[in-house]
Amino acid sequence: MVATAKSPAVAEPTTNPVVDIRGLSKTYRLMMGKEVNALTDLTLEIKKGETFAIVGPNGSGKTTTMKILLGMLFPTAGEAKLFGYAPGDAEAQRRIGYLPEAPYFYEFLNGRELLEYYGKLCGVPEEVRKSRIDELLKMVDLYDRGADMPIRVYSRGMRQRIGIAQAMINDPDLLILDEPTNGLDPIGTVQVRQFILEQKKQQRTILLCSHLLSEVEAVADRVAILHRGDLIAVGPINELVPESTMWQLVATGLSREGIAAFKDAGLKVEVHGDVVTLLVETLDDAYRGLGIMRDQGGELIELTRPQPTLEEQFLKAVGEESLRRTVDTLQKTARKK
Amino acid sequence: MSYIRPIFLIAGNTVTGVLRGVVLNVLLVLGALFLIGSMFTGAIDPGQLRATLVDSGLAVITMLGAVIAILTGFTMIPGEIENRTLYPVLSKPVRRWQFVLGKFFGAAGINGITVLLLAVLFFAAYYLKIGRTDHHFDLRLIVAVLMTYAMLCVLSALIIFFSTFMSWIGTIIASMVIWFVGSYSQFLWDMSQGAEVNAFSKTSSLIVQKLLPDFQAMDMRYAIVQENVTSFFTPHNLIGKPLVVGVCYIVIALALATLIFNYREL
Repeated sequence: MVATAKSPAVAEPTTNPVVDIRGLSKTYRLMMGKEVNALTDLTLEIKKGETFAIVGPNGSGKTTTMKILLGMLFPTAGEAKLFGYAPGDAEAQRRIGYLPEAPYFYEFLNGRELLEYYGKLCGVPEEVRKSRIDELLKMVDLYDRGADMPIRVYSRGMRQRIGIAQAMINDPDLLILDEPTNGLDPIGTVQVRQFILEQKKQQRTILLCSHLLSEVEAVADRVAILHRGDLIAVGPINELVPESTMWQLVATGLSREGIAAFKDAGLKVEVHGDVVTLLVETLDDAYRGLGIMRDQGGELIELTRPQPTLEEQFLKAVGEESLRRTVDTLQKTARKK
Repeated sequence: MSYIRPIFLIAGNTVTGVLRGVVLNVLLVLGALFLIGSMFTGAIDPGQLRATLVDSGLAVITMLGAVIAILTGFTMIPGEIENRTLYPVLSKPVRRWQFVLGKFFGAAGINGITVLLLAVLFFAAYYLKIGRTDHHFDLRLIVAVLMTYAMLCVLSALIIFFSTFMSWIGTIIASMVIWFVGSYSQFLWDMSQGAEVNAFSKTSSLIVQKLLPDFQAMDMRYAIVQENVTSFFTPHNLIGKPLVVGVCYIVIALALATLIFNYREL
């Protein structure tokens, strides 16, 4: 996929956030007076040109947040603003491109007709519309094959691609992508990632919602982690995933005495058959380990600094949050008793 | 962009969807077969033949029109929500009231196509059977067809209204009940006012009759075939009141539909 050129956006003070969420809460009222908190006191800002990702497991409040931003759901408390307008305001919608999760479009239309329809709804002038549709169809690789086919015969990947094209039809300032690689094959996933990176280069603001953390890690500037409606972490990727200070040495050919020498020196080792792994916290310890390894006749096969992934940080944060909730619940139960 | 344009874009897309679907085409073919079949009515005297043709022809247009209005209308909003085709539309600069009105005008367009196609077949059958010997064309038939169209638009507005807060099954049931009660309002009224009917039943049938549209008053078949009125306008205007009441039903149904849909979580 290639990028479409982003036309100069309407002059906007860089200090004004594109998306401004303050104390947003959403409670679903179910039958028998039961209530479910889908979102609790969420406060976020997304700045112009930023690629912001919301991650979280199923039921964490990602889709609820997106639906509130699009005016499909109404918050129970708090407020959200897009470009300074309330969600659902036509002025805000004019500047938004939205790709829904697992998008479904009018099956009776073909790809070109679909873009034509959405283009007209967005008020894209006729003289611009035709060339933009061609450009977008080329961008998503549907120009030669698919543009004139009814959407009912589209594969999952083709639907996702036409979904991306319709989200771009109004040359939006803010792209909202809900699980953009959901159900795509590896090639499709890479194409979507490239698309997001291209849009990022064009300084388009992107709000990405995903549970695929590797995808988020590759494209996002900042990430918010939601869990059961609570914001449990937010920040730049490099802050959420701090640089590792650990060193890992992997060696073979060490005798029992050799392994014991590491332990005697106070270094922690793991042994799996013939492979010995040494994990140390400082560069000095790494040098010491290397020295012992050489003296004991071991062969170094790997020396790395293992980086924690967003996934590890995410699991850690979610795990801590779950633990905190469990402790809270136990304490409340104990107090009641 | 004007406020009107999105309404007609949505209406146009709705009509396209129905025209490219199966339901309308199958039912129209069925209607055509009925109308062609009515040409083979057994030989009776010319007056009876005319009455039979008019009665069956207008009945086919009305009944089939109602079936098409219900079968294509009940999915218009619930279908968009279930299929999630609504989300990309409402994420564009389209207001919810524009979507509701667009769906109504789409339904009105489908009613128009249905009535037009069936009316053409009806008039063709009428001409082939009667028009060759009697060159006087009965203009009352055109008025009757236009009234049928107005009746179907009232029904469509009510279907849109129900579909903003009911499931599709609820919408079908409510539409069919309203259609049935409205089409036989006089008959049901007469039944409910019998001497043996208790006061509660009388009062409730009065409320129902006043609340629901009187489709029977818009159906000109009875006036043409049974009462044999020569004019719909003199001595009594049979068209004016039902039309005004019909427009009121449409306006109220769409206003309520818009109000409900505006506050509905999607």
